[in-house]
Amino acid sequence: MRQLVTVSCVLLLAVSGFAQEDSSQPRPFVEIAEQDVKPSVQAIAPIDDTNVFFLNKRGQAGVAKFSPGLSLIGWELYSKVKLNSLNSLGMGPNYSLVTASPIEITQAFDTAGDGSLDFFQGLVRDWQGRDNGVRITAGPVADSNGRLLFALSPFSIEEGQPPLARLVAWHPDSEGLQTVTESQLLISSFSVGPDSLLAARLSMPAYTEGYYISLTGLPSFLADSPDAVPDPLPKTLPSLLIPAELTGGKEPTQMCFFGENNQTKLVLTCPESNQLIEIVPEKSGSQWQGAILLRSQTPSSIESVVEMNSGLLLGGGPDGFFPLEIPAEAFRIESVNIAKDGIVLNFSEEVDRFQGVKPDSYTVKAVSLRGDNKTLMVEPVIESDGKTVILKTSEIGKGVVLRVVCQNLPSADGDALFNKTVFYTIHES
Amino acid sequence: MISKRYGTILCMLSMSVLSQLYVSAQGDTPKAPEAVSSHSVPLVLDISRRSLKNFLQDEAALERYLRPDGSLKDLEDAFTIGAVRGRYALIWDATACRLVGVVDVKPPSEERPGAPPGANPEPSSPYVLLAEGYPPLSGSLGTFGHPGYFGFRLIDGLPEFLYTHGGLQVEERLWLEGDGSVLKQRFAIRSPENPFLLHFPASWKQRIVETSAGKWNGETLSVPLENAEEVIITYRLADEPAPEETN
Repeated sequence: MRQLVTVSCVLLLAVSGFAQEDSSQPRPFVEIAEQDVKPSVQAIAPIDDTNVFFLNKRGQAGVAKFSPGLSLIGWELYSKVKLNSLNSLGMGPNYSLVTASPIEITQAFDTAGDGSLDFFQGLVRDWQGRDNGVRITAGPVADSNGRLLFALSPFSIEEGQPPLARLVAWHPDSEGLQTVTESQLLISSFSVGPDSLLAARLSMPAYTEGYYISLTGLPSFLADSPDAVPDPLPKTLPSLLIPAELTGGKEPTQMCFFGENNQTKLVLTCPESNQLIEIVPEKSGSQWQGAILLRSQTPSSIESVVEMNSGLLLGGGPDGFFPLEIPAEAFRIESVNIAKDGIVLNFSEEVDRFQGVKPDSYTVKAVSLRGDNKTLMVEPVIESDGKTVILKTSEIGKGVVLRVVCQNLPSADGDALFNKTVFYTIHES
Repeated sequence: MISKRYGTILCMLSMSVLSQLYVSAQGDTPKAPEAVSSHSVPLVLDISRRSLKNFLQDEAALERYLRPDGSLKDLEDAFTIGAVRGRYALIWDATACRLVGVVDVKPPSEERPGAPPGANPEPSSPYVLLAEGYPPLSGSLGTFGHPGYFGFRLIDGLPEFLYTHGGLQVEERLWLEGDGSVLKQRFAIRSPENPFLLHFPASWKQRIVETSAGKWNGETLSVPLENAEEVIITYRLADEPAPEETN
């Protein structure tokens, strides 16, 4: 039994005189003035290349305008009502906004068309276990099928079954909420990328050496049978472990997919250590694996990050908005891949060839999923472009996390390497 | 010195709630709050949605918050509404769909500037109004079951809560007037087919100074069909000053 609830509010909307009237009148623009005060940003939803909605730390919605290079031009509140919102913001039709508190999915409208939200509908307020403390833990996130996804805290559908956290979907044509995935661990944040790839942060507070991320391909959604239950129902299992040493020991919180160099990547914010983590997912058989890198150190704490339509990343935090571009001059590992004969590292600049060919410039360890720890002998080979180093080895196995440290590798110009340590997870299958 | 009682309410509401109600947005609001209006005009209200500790005491009022295992839920779905720099905070809860309390957040020590240092002010309840009994429309023709929250909207900056109670579609608007010590509560039934009843606790009735329509029978206001689309209740939140002693 996967259909959890009947969303009475939605039915009510259809019959109720409360429902806001659909206005075909042209909307006025929100007038944005230059502000000396920076907004404290908790969540961002892009509108287009240069405009975003956001939530501030008080739960108020705002709208901000940027230059094409993402310099902030100005911002204005879109609502002064302080919502008890989680750190996620979705956009609905006609510039409506969708937020979640632990006990409600709320859709807010500007029915007067005056550039201010004035109607706040409790869109979803009923699900199994709500009276027993089951709460929304993450979301809402709108997917490409017009569904709203959000996560519920663990609960048992039937007595005696183990409690499972669930990612559920609301669709206007559905009779109830549909379970999309189940997880043994609480989902504290998630994002949906191209091809319905779900990335979910799985909470395991007692484990302090790393942070679990699940990558799951979501089943396709059939618009003409929105209540169809996927069979089998995908499980959201840990796919990758972000080592605490990469995050400064601080928890990654929000995440978003983005495209770069024709690759789909995932960026995660660590607001307590001002670090951004990059994951490059790769599908191997039925499982997702991939590389984990430190992407950048931000000048200020970043709570939320989004990819703008232009492809640029925009971050926001207590000190306002920041374009999250990587300095062109930064010498860094841009990617790590596994080849038949070894580990391929791509650098942003040419490496120092003298140091680059020395095996002791690198330390490569393979940590098995059972906890065994093995140092791999490698033979570095620098490709003709000077930016690619292959650490040749025949010892790479399956079911391991590779930890690669380039402890003594400056660029050809003598610059120090920004991110000396990268990780790569290889699953068994 | 804040009394024990006020310490309790501070814990209940949490300092953040109080500070957000009465301190205008710090560094994160582009415009200064609008000026407080004159007497008969509604005040500019600060509206927040948050989770509060359950402070209700009445058994019937608490019924809606009982979990199946008998434990009590907090007011997780509460709206706090207050005038900027005002003295009273209104708390409307979407779980019960009712005004559950009005809190006087001004510590009593501030009321008695002449009191000697260290003097303990008289402990008194910070709740000017506290929900008792069942929701006010219970007992009206067409009501059954629990009220169901739909949403809220802003009418000229004033919050209006929308809910159903049985077959009734209810709009309940709240605002403050004067110096913030006059509470107005407007009930409206959409497409009414019958008169309706509003029942108030006795302690609330004592503070009601005016109703725009209806006839009282004890603590129950009977609103005729012709007024069912709008009835406004006016409460005096501040205590009347004690009569001066005369020689």
